Amino acid sequence: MLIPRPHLTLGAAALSLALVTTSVWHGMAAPQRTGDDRIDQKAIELVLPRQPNLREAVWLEISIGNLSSGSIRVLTGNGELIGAVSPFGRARSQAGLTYKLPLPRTAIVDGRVRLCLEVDEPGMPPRAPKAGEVNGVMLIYVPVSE
Amino acid sequence: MPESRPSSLGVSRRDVLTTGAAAAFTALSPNAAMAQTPARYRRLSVSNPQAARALASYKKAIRNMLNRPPSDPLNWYRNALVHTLDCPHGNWWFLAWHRGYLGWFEQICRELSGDPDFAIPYWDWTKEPRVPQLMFDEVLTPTAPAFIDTFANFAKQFKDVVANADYWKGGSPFNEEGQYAQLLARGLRSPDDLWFDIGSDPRPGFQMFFDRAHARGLTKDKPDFDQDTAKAVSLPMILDGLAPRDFITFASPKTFAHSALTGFGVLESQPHNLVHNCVGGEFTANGQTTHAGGFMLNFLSPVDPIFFLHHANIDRLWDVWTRKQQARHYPTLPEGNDLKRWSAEPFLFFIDSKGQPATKTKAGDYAAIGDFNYDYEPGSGEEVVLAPVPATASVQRFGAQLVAEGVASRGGSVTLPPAILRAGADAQLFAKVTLGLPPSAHAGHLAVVVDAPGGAPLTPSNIVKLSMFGHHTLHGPVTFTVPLRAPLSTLRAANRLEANTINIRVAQAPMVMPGGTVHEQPVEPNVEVLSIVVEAH
Repeated sequence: MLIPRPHLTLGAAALSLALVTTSVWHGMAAPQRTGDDRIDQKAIELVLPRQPNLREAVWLEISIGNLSSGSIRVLTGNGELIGAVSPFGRARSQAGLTYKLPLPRTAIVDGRVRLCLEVDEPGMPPRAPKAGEVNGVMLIYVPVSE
Repeated sequence: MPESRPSSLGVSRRDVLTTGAAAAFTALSPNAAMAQTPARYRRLSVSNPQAARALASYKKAIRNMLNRPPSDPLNWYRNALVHTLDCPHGNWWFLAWHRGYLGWFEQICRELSGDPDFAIPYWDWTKEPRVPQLMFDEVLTPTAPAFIDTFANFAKQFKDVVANADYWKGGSPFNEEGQYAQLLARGLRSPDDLWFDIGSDPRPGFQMFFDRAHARGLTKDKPDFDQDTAKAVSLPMILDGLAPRDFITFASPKTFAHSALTGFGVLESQPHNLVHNCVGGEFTANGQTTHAGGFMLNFLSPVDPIFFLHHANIDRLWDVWTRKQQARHYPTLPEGNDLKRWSAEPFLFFIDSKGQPATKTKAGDYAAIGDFNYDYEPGSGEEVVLAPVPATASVQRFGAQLVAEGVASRGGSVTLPPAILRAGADAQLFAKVTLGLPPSAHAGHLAVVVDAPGGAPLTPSNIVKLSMFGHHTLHGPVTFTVPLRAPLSTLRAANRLEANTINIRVAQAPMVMPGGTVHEQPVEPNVEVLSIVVEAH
């Protein structure tokens, strides 16, 4: 029987609501971001506002919504696997968590990034995310060591 | 034993904490760290033939722990429950907590195996993207007969012991800093909540206990990772994950307590999560995902002995990243007030080799390898640690003392060495201001105001407006980097830097009128300042 109870993840959600960020000013060391939200389609295209400098990498930051089971596979527009988001443990039950995923430089073509998102669930063929399963996919600039 | 003994163990907690936030970075001098004596214990790769002795001792310790009664804290399952009750994931304490958990466990194994040299081997999944064959031997797999066969039997043996455990006792008056407070923060009000999580949650993927036949998803005949997991442990992914220049990007994002989740850095989201889930039976091949089950899938994962080898590799990569940072004079830990907050987080459930509560109870106790006194045989990713860069490349950091206004801080003050504030040096000074913003906030209405004690009319050059681009999304705190050249030039010209102290605060963006008059807004900004660090480059 499901036992109703308070859960820190709810409290944490409230806390993170109080700590929400959107993007970052032209900082030296903090990630900058841009992207699309409300993903409910298999293929998306993101526009990079500028080329990363030599001490920056471009990563994806994926916010997962209500994805109770399975994982999200992220591929380039050419079908190359970039990586998968596979929630572990209690993370399966909490929407709004973010997952960082390095983006190969080759995935950036003419300042654009084309991605294909697939949901893998046990016993089901891969499918496009449904509305609400992926909250957003962002491109972030990550300061990296040389 | 190899000559090279690279490790960040020489940076002790005392080094980090006693130097204070302002000087924490310089305390982490790579030269100081690398001049330490070699570690007492070496964690070898499990694929190194020399690790056979450690594995033999590991088996002895596991058998000993499995044979102990449920009432004994050194019982194998009792030790695994420490993880279930207290492990952090999806936040910036993930690495430190697991370092502590493994460090104490290693001492338990040393004690119970009788091997005074025992050190946990690590599983370098980048080189070996499959469950090592040795880990299917005897009690190194949870499918062995020595493990409990069914959830019913597990519950029968452990329910009473768990129900009577001290951690459910909150004290009178209630101890806000005790174990029960931690459990409540995690949503565990009573043993019934715990047992629901372990064995009764009906949702797919939420189960924690697995019958012996399904205790591990990958098998001796089929030990290889699936394609997604192989990608997650690939060398390019590991090198990318080691690349960030700051702790929070490298690790996982900030939260206010270690039982909260907010997001995952690459190390945690990729090799950590996917290896757990793949060994735990989530496997995708030819477009089909199967779910065979296995302890590694959830928070009772330390029942599978491979858990400790998996996390030893995660800990090794943290050590690699730390030494990379030291070599380049980058910070190795959160900075300024973040470091204080991070270090003070209570870890209250660890058990020492005598079955007693561990004496080190704060996250800061595990910022460095310290008294655990181990290092690692070099493995994948070691190449990111290069020769130390000359110290002239270092950055000095000075944490501001924040001032609370009501429940939140809007800013603080920082005193800088006179040499830092000398005329002409301003171009190399920046303030890193970390803010907590509400979800609908747009920082475009905020500004950082820089002035000095004593008060004086503001000028436009004392104000740096915060701006941003892109779409909004949920995330953790955000750090703005503010150049201080213009405001400090103005303050110096007005002879207001004589005390070497500056105030930095966040306000509603003041209105600048024609002629340069500044009108501050009477509205409190809907924001909390979490830390301010002035950097001198």
